[in-house]
Amino acid sequence: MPLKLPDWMWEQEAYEPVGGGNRFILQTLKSLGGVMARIRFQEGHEKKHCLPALVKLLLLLALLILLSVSRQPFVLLALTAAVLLYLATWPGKDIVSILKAPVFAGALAFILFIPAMLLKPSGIGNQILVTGKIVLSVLMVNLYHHTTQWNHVTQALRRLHLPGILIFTFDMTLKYIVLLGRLMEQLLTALRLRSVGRSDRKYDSVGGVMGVTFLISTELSREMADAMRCRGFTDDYRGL
Amino acid sequence: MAMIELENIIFSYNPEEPPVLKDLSLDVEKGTCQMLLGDNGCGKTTLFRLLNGLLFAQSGAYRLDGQEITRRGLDDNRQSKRFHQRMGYLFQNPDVMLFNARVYDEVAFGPRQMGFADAEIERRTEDCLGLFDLTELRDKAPYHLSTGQKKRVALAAVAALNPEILVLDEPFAGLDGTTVDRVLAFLTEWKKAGKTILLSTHEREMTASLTDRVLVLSEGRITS
Repeated sequence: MPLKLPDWMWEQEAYEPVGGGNRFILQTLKSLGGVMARIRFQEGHEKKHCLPALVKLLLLLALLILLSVSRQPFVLLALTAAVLLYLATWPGKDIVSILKAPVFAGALAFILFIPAMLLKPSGIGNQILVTGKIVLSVLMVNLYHHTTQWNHVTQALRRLHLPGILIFTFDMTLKYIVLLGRLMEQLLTALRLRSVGRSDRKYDSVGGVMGVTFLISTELSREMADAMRCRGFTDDYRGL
Repeated sequence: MAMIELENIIFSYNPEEPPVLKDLSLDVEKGTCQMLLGDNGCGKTTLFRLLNGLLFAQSGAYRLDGQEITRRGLDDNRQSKRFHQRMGYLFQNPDVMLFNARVYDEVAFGPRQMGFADAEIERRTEDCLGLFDLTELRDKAPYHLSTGQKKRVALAAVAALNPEILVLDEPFAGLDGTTVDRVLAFLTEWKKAGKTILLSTHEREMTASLTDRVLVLSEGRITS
């Protein structure tokens, strides 16, 4: 099958690109990479000899209930001490990653309480106690998230006899976040590799990436539903 | 001097795991076609991503025409764009390369980026559509095409940038005989034009006439 290349393909391109224009793609890729890295971080941090996911889940629920019903600062202090002691066994980089969300939640709660503190100074103690509870609750949930793989969370929820369809939805959502995240990462990388100049239509391309991701996700979900039907799925979902 | 030089490259995705590429060295001369062979998961795609500046080695040096390619260098927007124009990359899965609404726009994306006049954009796009027998499909959505058609669109889109080097990750996977012949004919002509090709494939016999050197990637090193 003989082919003839056009003349311009025989020449070496004397192309001098203009600067700028890729910031949006690079920032999106960076953010997406960050989310994917957090998921990978969570995947690899379940220690071999730690408590089973179900026990951890029950313990977490019990501690959260205890924390929310308790009005004694002692309970908050004792729990904080225990959680910080456990956190201290982690590498520094991981501690920073785990602490980010609770610190943010605490700061947000504190800002929201500022008007109340100014209007009724006598209640400051209570507001600080509530802020502390928020920080500790988020910290405990974050620790559970960082130390338990998703499939083990699913398994724990199943043992708590939650409806199968709820666990199925939870599990599929998580799997698809990873799958579609990777897909979008690759699409944006391909877009970046071919974005060798400046274009007035850059938002068309970004819209295209979103559109293709949506179409592929729809197709994947349809194919998965068909595959599950072919394998005899009867709404009774068992996680790994 | 070789066009592409890799010197004692060590790359690992996770520092706690053994490296995917171990002390890998490779020279690629301009205007040659190098075929990369290796088992699934041996690091072919990793090597290609490294060559395209998507990954960076923990140690070792990567030079293109004597100029070292580093993360810092590619942080410079202008240098990065010039590098990516010179080095075209065909992904293994064409689905992740196609993000435009029409085949025509997909192929015209590169020339538009390069700032050509409308007439030149149209000329280059039509040329590439013709080369890969895509003229009939010009108004179709790339997403709805077959795998073979998608691969042709992706290759046409990369060729429209007129790069000096083509890096092709499994370009023949999932293609029928006619499409394979067309892609091979294109690559043969491309090589005659003095351009460089690096491709990974499992179809060794198919590309024998095109290839100047066969590289085998095994245990993180090029063994031949």
